[in-house]
Amino acid sequence: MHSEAYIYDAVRTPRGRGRKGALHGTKPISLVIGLIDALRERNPGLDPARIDDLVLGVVTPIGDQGADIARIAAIAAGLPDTVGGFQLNRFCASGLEAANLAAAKIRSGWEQLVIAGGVESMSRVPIGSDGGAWALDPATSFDTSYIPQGISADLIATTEGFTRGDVDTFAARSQQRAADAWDKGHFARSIVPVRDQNGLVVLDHDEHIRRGTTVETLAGLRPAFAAMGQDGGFDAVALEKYHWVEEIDHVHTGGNSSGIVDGAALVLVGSEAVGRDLGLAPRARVAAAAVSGADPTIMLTGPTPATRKLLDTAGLTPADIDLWEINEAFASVALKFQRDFGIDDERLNVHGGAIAMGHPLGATGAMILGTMVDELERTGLHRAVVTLCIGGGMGVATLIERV
Amino acid sequence: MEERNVIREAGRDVIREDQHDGGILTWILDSPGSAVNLLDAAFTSALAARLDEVEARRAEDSLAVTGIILTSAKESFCASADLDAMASATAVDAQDVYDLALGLATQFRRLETLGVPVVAALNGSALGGGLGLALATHHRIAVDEPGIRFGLPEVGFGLCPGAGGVLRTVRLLGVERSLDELLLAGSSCGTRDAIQRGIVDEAVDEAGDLLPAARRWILENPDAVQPWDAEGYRVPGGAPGLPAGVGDPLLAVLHFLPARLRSRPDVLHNPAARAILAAAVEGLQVDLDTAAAIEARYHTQTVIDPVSTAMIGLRHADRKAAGPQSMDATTGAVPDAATVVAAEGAPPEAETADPRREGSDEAAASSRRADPENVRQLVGDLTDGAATAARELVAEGMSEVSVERAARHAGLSSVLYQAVRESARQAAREGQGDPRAGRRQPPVLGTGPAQRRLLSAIAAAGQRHLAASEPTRVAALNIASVDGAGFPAWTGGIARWETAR
Repeated sequence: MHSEAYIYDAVRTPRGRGRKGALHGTKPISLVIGLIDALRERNPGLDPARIDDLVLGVVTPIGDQGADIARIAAIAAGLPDTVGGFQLNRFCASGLEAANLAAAKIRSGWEQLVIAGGVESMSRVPIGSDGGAWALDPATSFDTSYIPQGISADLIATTEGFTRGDVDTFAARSQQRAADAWDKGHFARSIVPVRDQNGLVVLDHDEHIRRGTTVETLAGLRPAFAAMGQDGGFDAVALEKYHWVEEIDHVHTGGNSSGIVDGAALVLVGSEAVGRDLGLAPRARVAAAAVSGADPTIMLTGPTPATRKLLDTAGLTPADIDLWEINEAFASVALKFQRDFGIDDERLNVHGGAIAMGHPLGATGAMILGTMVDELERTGLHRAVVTLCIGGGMGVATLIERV
Repeated sequence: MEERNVIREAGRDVIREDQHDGGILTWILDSPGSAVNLLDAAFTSALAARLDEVEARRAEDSLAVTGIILTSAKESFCASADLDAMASATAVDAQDVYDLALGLATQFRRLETLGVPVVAALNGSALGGGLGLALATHHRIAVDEPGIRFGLPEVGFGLCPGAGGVLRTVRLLGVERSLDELLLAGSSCGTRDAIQRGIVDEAVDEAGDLLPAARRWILENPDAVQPWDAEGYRVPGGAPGLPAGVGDPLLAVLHFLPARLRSRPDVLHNPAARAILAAAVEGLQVDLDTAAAIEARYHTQTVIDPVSTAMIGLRHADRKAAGPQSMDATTGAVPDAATVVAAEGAPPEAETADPRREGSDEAAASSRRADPENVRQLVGDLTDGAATAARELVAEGMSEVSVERAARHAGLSSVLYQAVRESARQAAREGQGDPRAGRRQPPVLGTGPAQRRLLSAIAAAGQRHLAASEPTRVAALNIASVDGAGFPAWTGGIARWETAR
């Protein structure tokens, strides 16, 4: 019964830049259908009747991407009626959570083949437009000391001592690495251009990258969260808990935080047997997965306990990991994670991240998982850890090994 | 049944009725044996009985009653609920407290949906539940005289209004204005300001002009309905609802309100502020009857909370016991905002403490006053207690920033806050602390333990003054600990801290 879970393929759309970006006129369901079509074209042996489920992360599951978009996308993509559809929400880690759930389904022996991933059209369904008790129910907000993530990111920078220069240096490097990766074709294996109903290309590259970004150009940007922290009362709420901190240093700007973009990503996860039956070659093994909560006020430190749990589960130490990928929600999040595990610059986010290319909330986890599958193959390295910080104070982490 | 009849009979006195030509009734609030009209169970029964009568008469002849004027036989229009009863309520009384509040709210709703215009002829102050009653009428006319006050002072007593004061002000003024100007401010205002704020509609120069003006309005507005019952009504500034509405200005407001409130040290420990905010927002997402139940639940939660017991003790019982006096004169201290709010907002019976019963015996009054020298010594000892505790906390390894923040979170203000701040900094400068102090403490504990240390140390430092004083002066000294020294009001003063925690 027990089977390892293998990643047989990974695809993603390019990321469109906001309301003036190329994907604003493309529906989220169209992004998903385009990727399902691509998986079938790329894997001629993939018998859709063998697919058990389509699991998609969506963080703002209303409007265009509401009402279990996964099931509707499965129908609209022409998959057999027997293929299920399931939308989940683990906030920013939803895309990785979907892949982990798919792997758990496979490892349970109850399912054989699952398409997992996520989609988010942030230009069409804005972040936060689904309401929710934490930010908008006053009693809950008051009792749990709700603060927005940007304040938390600035609090991390303050308690860790990261200066504006530190976070801007990290951001400039993200831009540089993303541009280099595109120039050298390192994303080529995963990128599926978004096409319209006539087959014409709508977008074939990540629009959010700003080439030529330097620490100097970033230094001119204004802190994004200072006003809401100071005038809105959020700094005071944060410092109720972090009472020894004199004041919060608001270092994050639009330039060293993740971009707001549209996009989707899918990974094909299956058992060893189904791969053999369909003639699919496994590209990586999902070796372990973990989730952990963390203090909801500083909120974005969850990747550390999640990754510790992940390494414990796998019986590994940080030295055993070849490549690390943490979602660049904010520069301080990645810098703290790097410090906690003593990671070399050359092994962390080797092709840049969401600061350069954007963070389509529900999709990002599956996107960066695919980036690591590609990179292990390209470099011949063995193990990669993928992790994301999560609203409400959580982290999700996944360990993959090249096969 | 017999008991009910007795109450009904008594109710004829609680609300007396005059009938005029053309079917206009005047209901005169006149609680027997009391200087003020209180919104208690007897009042609720009386109002229900009057409403029953009107319904019965109108069922026979729809023109039998064409309007109702509410006014008062007392100096004030209507005070509020029974503060003494609220002060003693605990968790076992939750059902009774809720039933009383919801019962009152139900009759208020009947009043405004009876089908005839109802006018409040405000011959005197309407505070708390009294204003809540006035807001359940279609038109409020007040005498423009000095001394007449309107407002919802509940928050200063640790209470959330319970009989529609929240749901009606929110629908009248919108979420932000109702919270900022009335519910969370806890302050009161005169007739002209009340008109400007939109809680009173019309002013007359003399009490004698009230009833003619009310009758005129009724004749001109036979089809009056509340704004929120009119077709096409929208809450000013928007209401939360579905879909959440991106770009809705209220969305940003809701996002910030709890944090703004939490960052105010004077309300951090006062559950009323949180309850009022929650009742305001949650009540807008549902119909008025459901909103009344939500408000009554939050009201009940604050009534049975020990903080309201302590605050009513300080702002009502102690004030009554100490009599009118100016603490600022005895200490030279500038009263903080909370003091001003509570003083302005205090119900009339608390301010005047029934002069007929108190009499004008200056000797008796002076025996209850705090001796200025006593107060000076008390404030000095409290300040020393605060300074010592602050130094100890730094010496034990807490950072001076944390100690100062603990003082702020505890609600210390004025000279006591300054004492903690200066002493903690001084101790840190003298190297008594640990430069990496405080970081070892798990953040989840916050400053809670340090807050309790500071408050207990300060209260202990004042005990010898309370013990050495004649019992008649204890209330005045307790008030001085808050208004003169800056001990937090939510504790009820140093005399209550040991028992309250």
